[in-house]
Amino acid sequence: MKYYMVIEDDDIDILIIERMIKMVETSINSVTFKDGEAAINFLQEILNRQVIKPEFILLDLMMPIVNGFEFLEMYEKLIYPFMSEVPVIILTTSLHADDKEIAMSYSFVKEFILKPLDRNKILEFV
Amino acid sequence: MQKKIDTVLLIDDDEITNFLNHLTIDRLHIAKQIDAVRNGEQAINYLKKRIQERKAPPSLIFLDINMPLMDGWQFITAYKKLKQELAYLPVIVMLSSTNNPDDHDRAEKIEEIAYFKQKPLTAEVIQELISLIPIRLNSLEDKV
Repeated sequence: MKYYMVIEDDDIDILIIERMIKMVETSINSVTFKDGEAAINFLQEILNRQVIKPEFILLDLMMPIVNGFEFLEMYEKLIYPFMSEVPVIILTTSLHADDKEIAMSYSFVKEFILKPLDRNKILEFV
Repeated sequence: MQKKIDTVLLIDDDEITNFLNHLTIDRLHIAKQIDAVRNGEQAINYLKKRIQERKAPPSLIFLDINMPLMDGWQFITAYKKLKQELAYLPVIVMLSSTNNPDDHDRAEKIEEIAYFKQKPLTAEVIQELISLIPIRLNSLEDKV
């Protein structure tokens, strides 16, 4: 089963992301997380169970508990060394150049995409 | 040849647990179809729909205990009333996230519950359970 992860606290954004990706690629499922911690727990469980890894991870930066930047730190230390490359795509409303610079400094971050999502942006990573 | 069953039903209110269990079963290639519902009530409706549509019930059911609307115990009570309408009886495995011995004792007294296992559901446990499930005629036909 092909699937991707969405780490996003906004329900409307989740709905938009899922709908738009479904229009481009019908054979892929989504699994959503409202904060970075839940997503890290899931990824650790994926490693423990040795099951199929996600195709890619869509990450919002502003979230409660463990935010996007904290997720990237944890992902780099806890997950990335044990899982062959799963790209992380940042989906954000942030226009701060610093945010982009920090996020793109991680080798596994492949795109920094500004919301709203559109078909052309999706085709960059799906 | 790898033994294959038709359908597995996952009953758990935690979507991520259902998803992980789905991935684990998927990896083992032992089921043709994997369905998931979020509580006992949805599971009863799922089984009723199967009966109405004259479809075979799932061969294997993984049942969580603590769920909203209708928990695992309440599901069993409702299931007892409709089980005679099923083409055959699914193997029901109750999954517990606590070590509560009371739950284990209670489950052992219920004939509808075939096994009681601790979470998380591992590949080893699934394979062990599959080896214990009878292959049905419809599955055999598919192998020809």
